[in-house]
Amino acid sequence: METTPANLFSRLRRDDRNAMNELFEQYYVPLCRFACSYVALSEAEELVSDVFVGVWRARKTISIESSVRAYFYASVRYACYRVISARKLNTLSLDELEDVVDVAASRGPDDDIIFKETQSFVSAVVQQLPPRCRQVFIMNRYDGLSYKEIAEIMGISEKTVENQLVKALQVIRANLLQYEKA
Amino acid sequence: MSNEPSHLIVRYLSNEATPEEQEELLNWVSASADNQRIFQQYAVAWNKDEVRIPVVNKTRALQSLNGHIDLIEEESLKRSRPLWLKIAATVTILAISSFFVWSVVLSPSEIEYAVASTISGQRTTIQLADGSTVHLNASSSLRYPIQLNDDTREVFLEGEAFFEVSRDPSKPFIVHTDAVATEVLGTSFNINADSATVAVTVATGKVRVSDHLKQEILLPNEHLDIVRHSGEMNRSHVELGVALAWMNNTIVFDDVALDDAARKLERWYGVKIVLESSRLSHCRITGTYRGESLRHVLEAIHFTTGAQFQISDNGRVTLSGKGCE
Repeated sequence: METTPANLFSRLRRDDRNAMNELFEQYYVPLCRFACSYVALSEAEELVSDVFVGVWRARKTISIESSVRAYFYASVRYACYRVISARKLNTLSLDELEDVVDVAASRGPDDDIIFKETQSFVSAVVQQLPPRCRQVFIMNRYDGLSYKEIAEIMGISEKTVENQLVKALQVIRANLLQYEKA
Repeated sequence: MSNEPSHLIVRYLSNEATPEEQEELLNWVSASADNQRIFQQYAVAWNKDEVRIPVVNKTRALQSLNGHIDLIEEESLKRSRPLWLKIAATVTILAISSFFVWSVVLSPSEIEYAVASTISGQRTTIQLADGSTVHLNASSSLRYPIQLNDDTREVFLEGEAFFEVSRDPSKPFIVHTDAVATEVLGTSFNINADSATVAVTVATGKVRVSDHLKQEILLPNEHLDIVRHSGEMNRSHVELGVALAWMNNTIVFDDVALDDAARKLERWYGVKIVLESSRLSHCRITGTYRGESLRHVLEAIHFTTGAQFQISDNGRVTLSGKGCE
C-alpha cells in the first residue's frame, strides 16, 4: 500500500528522499526508452534525469490530477519537445512533435542515430509503424499504461489511443500473415 | 474480414474491456471457427514482440540524481536569508486586482500566489507550475500562482523578465504589468516594465499586448514600446541580442539617452545616480559591458561624453559636466 505511485508522491511532498528513489527505480528505465523515440539515448538519459530533478524541485507545487506515472511521461515528452525545438530553429508546437520526429527519422545524419536506437528496442514491424501509432502501442503494450494515461500524455483522446492500437495490431497481424504465406 | 470486431479485440487484449464487452467478445469468438482463428491471429500479434530494455547505467544516474538533490537542498537552506524574498501568501481573488473581478463570478475559489523578487545586481530563474520558465532581471518581482488553475495562467510583473511559456492553447498565459496585459499561448518574450515606457520584445511565437483601449500583435524580433502616461504604442524591429543581453550578464546601450542609461545602471548595480545638469541627459551613449564593475562602465561613459563622475560611500553616483547639445 505504501508504494503505490500516489503514496510515493505524497511522501515526496513531505520531503521523503526514499520516495524519490523508489519513483526513480520504477520509472527511470521505461522513461529512458520512451524518450529514445524522440532523442538519442545519451540525451534521453540526461533529460529523464533532469525531469526527476525538476520534480524534486517542484514537489510542493506540482498538482497531479490523475496518474503520477502519466505525469512523468508527459514531462519527459515535453522535455524531448524542448530539446527538439531548440535544435530545429523554426517554431513547432507540442502537438506536432511526433510528426517532426517522423520527418527527422527518415532523413538527416543526426537522426539516423535516433532511428537505430529506437529500432534496437522493438521489432522491425513495430519500428515501421507511424511514430504516434508506435508510441501508443509501446506505451500500452510494454509499459502497461492505460488508454486514459496515454491520452493525457500525448494530448489526444482515448478514442484516438484505441484507434492507434487497432491500427498497430492490424499492421503487425498483416505482417505475420504475410510471413506465414511466404 | 472487415466485419471483425477489431476494436473489441484490442480493448480486450489491452485490458480495457468492460465485463459486458468481454462477454460480447467471448460470444463472437465462440460463434465460429473463423472467428476463433481471427482472434488467435490478433492475440499472436499482440504477444509477438518482446521489447528490449535500453542499456542505461541506472545506479550512476541515481547517484547523480541524489547529488543534484543534495545541492538543491543546500541552496534552499542558504536562500532562507532575505536576499531572495519568497513570500507565499494566500490572497483572495477580490484582493488581487480589478483584473480578477470578473472571475469571482465564475469561480469563487482562492488562488494561492507566491512572490519572487530580486534585489539590484541579482537575477534569478523561476519555474512555474505549468512548465514555463521566467528569468527575472535585477530589482524586479513576479507574483505567480503556486498551482495550475483551470482557466488561465496569469502572473504579475514589476521590473523586467524574460518568459519562456510552455504551449497550452486552452490556457492563455497573461503577464500583467501596471500599464498593459501581454497574452500568449506558448512563446518566449521579454518585458521591461521598469521605466516610463513598457517594452515588450518577442523572441519566438506570437504575443498580444493590450491595454483598456487597444491591442497589438507582435511577432518574433518585434518590439513594442508603450508610453505609460499616454498609452501610445510604437512598434519597431529589434536586435534580440540587445534586448536579451541582460540574461548573459551584459549591459547593452545602443544609442541610449544618458538618463535612461542611468536608470538601467541604478537597477543593475543598486546605486542612485544623479545627473547634475539637465544638459547631460541629452548625451547619448553606445556600448556593451559584460560583467563589468560600475566604475568601469562610468569610466567608459566619461570617455564618450566627458561627464565627470563621483561615487560616494552611500552608493550615490553624481555625474557632472557641461553635457551635450
